[in-house]
Amino acid sequence: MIEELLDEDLILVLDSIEDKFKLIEMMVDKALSKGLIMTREPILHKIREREELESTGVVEGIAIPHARTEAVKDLLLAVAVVKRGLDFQSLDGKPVYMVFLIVAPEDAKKKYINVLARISRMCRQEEFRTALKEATSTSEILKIIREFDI
Amino acid sequence: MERILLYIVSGEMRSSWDRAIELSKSLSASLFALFIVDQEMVRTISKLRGTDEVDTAIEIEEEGWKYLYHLEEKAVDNGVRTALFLKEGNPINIIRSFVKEREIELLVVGYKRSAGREGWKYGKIIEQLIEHVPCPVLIEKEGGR
Repeated sequence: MIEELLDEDLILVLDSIEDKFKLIEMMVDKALSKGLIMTREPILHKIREREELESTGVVEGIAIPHARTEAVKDLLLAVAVVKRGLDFQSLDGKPVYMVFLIVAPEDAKKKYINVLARISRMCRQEEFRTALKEATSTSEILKIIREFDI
Repeated sequence: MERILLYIVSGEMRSSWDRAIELSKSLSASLFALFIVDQEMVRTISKLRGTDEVDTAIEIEEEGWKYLYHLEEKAVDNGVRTALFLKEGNPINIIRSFVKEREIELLVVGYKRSAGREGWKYGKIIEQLIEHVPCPVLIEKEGGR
């Protein structure tokens, strides 16, 4: 399910970044440059609005910012690994090392919920989190996600 | 009141979801939504189906996340601050600790009369919650009043 949505060009590996919205902007811009989204502002607005309501850092070390908007034609999944961690204002107060950005069209609610559920379940596995945290390349991250997407 | 906990048992108990969202909105409280993968339930279902316990747990967990995200969609549409949690273990122990740790002021649970062992077990869980959880418990009757 996740494998078919993943594009290696939408995976980022960073040493550090200070601001969570800056990271989300980078992820959205990657999708924009690939022509996967029509315009970035509505997506950034929706994500910011959701994050301001409550952080989506729900699993230890992982954040899953998500939104539905007409600014995308198909469900979009982007992944970022931040080696030194990032303050995502998570509920547990701990830094976030992996970010899964999920944006879906308004009419794709079922698929959107299914993808959110699958990623959240995968992220609860400690082996998955550890493997991602230690990954050094986009191809390695892709391989790990494929391996755990069952 | 600042913190309300909704214990999500299944997708059927939507009246309790609506009640928790409505209360959180009117009281400007944060809504904590919790789904628990009950290990005893996993064992029972695996036995009945003749399936592997790990596979059953995976299936239940993913279903739980779906409930949580459905709830989140509804809550966010209503402008309610929402946080999602999924835990594994004994529901009574988990909810009791959760209420203490997060200083929850109200627990909302749905109740639907159902036949058989599962219905009986859920009734017992609600009884124990009332007895052991250190905060008021609101039981929302599902499917008509």
